[in-house]
Amino acid sequence: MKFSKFLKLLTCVSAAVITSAAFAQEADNRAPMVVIDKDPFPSTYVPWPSELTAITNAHILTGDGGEIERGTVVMDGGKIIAVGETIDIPAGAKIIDGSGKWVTPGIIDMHSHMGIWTDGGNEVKAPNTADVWGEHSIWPQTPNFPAALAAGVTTQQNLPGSANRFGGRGVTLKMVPSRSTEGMKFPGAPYGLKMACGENPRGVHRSQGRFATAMGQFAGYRTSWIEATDYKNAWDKYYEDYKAGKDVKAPKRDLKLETLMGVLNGEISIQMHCYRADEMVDVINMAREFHYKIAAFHHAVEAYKIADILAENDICAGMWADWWGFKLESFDGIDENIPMMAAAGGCAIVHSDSDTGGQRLNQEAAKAWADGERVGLHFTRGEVFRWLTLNPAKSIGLADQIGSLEVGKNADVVIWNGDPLSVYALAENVFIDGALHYDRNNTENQWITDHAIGYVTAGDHQ
Amino acid sequence: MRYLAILIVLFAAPALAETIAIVGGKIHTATGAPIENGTVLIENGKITAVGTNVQVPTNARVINAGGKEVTPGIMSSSSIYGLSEGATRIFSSDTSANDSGMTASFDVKYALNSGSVVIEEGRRQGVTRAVSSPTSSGDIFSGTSAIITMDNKPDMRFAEGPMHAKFENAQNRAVAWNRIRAIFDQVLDYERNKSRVMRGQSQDYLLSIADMEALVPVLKGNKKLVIEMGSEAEISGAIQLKKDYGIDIVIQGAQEAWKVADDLVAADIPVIIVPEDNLFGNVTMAGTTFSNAARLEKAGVNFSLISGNGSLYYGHHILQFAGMAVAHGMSHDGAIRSITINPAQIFGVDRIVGSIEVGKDADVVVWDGDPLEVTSNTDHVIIRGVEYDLVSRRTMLRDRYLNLDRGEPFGKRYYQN
Repeated sequence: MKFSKFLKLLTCVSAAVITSAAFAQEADNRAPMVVIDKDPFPSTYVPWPSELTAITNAHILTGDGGEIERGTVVMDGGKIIAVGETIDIPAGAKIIDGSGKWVTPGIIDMHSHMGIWTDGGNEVKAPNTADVWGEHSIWPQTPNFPAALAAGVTTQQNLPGSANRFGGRGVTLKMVPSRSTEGMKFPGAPYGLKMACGENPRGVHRSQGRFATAMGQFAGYRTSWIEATDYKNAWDKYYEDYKAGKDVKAPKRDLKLETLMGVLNGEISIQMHCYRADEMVDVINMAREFHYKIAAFHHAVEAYKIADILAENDICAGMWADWWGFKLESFDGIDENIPMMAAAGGCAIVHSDSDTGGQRLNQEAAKAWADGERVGLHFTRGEVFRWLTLNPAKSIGLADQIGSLEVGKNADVVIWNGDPLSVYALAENVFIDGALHYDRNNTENQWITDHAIGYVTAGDHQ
Repeated sequence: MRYLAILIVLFAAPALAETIAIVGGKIHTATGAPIENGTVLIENGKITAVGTNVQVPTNARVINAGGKEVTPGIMSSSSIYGLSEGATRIFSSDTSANDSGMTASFDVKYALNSGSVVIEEGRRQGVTRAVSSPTSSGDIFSGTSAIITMDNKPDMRFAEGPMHAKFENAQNRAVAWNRIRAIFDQVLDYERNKSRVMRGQSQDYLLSIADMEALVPVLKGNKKLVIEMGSEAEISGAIQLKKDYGIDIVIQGAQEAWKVADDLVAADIPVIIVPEDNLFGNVTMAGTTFSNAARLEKAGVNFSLISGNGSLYYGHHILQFAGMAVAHGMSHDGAIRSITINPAQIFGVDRIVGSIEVGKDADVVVWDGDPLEVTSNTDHVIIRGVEYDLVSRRTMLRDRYLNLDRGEPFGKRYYQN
């Protein structure tokens, strides 16, 4: 009883919000057209103050495949304003001598649960929890965000876990301190929907007495896409009729179906956990059946078996360098997976899925690079860094803003104390939107979260 | 226990071992400073000469290690090699007593699988010996590990391992200490009153007779106890436990060991740490840091480095993690020792393996660069004088798919978009 009353109340409240958010139509007797706010929890992030800065004499990996052995990067107003071997440094610029240092774009981790783990990570209540928004489980005070920042990570996609077929929406965060999740959110970043295939949803759903096989999972996915297609058609028809002057009633809002409709409308990207080649091919066919696009497979340990297919379909593969064997579906993981994906012309990405691994993505890329070299797959350091920056930026729909040191892009920049494709390299300075957010040599510039304060002092975890 | 170890290894000497000379490499002996442009001579499965003035016999097969680096075989202080081919589902996993009711009496030795492809994979990446440890039994004591040679031979277990325990398997820290101490007191009581126990005239014990029997050698000081724990308070408790019961303790995990480094040195307690650990564990273990290794080295604690426990993909990671310890202040030589001779000492097999010294088993790895660098790989892996191909199931899969254009069944020919 109480719960249903609460639900009724909730419905009234949300209806009121919708009505007020709807824009006014021409004067007629109809109710205003219902427009769903697609960004009800907008980013409140404001870049920190920054100054005109030039990093000179540094070895630069531009993130889009380029490498400049001795060059300059200039940042102003939070953006990259110049990159090259010979740059006229603007008057008044603060100069950082990058001699002996390496400069790269900030690393982008397209698969993290860092802010969500503390809340459990998975909403296992149902096989389809597309109504769940990961951002509501983000704890901005997790002590781990500063560790990622200190490792040169500037952007993370945080995702719900893989316990169900549709896990919920992810959220893209900047590695910045904030009182709210909204203050960490990357402004305007498109939403991604976490989906999962394979052993995790099968196992969880089996324990719940639900579909326990892959064939069952696909029945479940397709049933949901059929419902979503009907829902989308209903809204499309509503808008069409309304605009034609008809007095029509809007379909009932459904958070789950709104997310799936966003996918069908091309507004929300699919971020799909899938290990095995055969399952990925099935998923590609399902996406064709329902006319949606898969942005990336995550944990694609068998990407190497279908690298050509993934490349042809323009689907990125987020991969570990060498994780394998921790479950049956990871048993065929090989050390050359990432270079084999890249060699096929595919969008290869090094991802973490781990708060510790997410602090050494550069080393993971280096391992994969070396293992590729041993079997004749050659890449330059510049090309390798693309696996850490521009490719993940593409997978989360932000390649126009981050992922490479190009004029006009956000000045997310890391200065390393050596070749970042070495185990010995450490990030010394990390800039986000041109502002210094981490300085290894100055504890004043090291972030401690609220939770850790009183227990640790700056730099303790390094 | 040490006598047992040596006996087993004598029987296990390889039947056919060639004479091999590894010439021209930078040799990390793990006992002294690195030798530039040195030679390692291997005969009959043993190292017979090391240095810059080694006479290479005419019958020796020469491995040219010019520009390369040479280390002792890597020893993993914590693994499940030979106990699992995959952590879940249809694969067998023989790693733990698994709530069977057994705790300390569980011994992994009966389950070791010499056909393991996971061992093959670890060997390819330079791991030549390993402690195959029991994982959680559901109670504090997990059972006895095996110390194995990574050669996929039926006799690969060459020494008995210590007793293992997992502190966090108690409901809380207070329960853990009370339970461990109560069990120890009861084991001592059982040992004193065995005949009465056998007649059925005993008190109720927390553990079964078999489990207590397994703990007797620990309490007699004849068998080490490896306890997994992390915080400063826990480690201090273990130091006190050693004083109170006179047992031989090794602490694994030991995230906050650096805080009590001097006490560990004074108590002669070695630790096993995971260099990737740096995250705020919880509010009672906030001091986890990448600098643990560097600080323990400075204080003179004997320690080995591992890459985690309970999973299978970690062979290469041991070297990487040792490199990370160096990036955070540890010496390069110390990091090599911490994955070779130190674990051999901690597990009592340092007379057999762990360094490139005359008389030791010839476990030698040749690397194509700095062994701790992530871009380095093995070029030659020799165990007990036998060189192994750097082939594993994973390299076979790689080779099958390396060229998708070749038109074979696993290529593009059978795929139509």
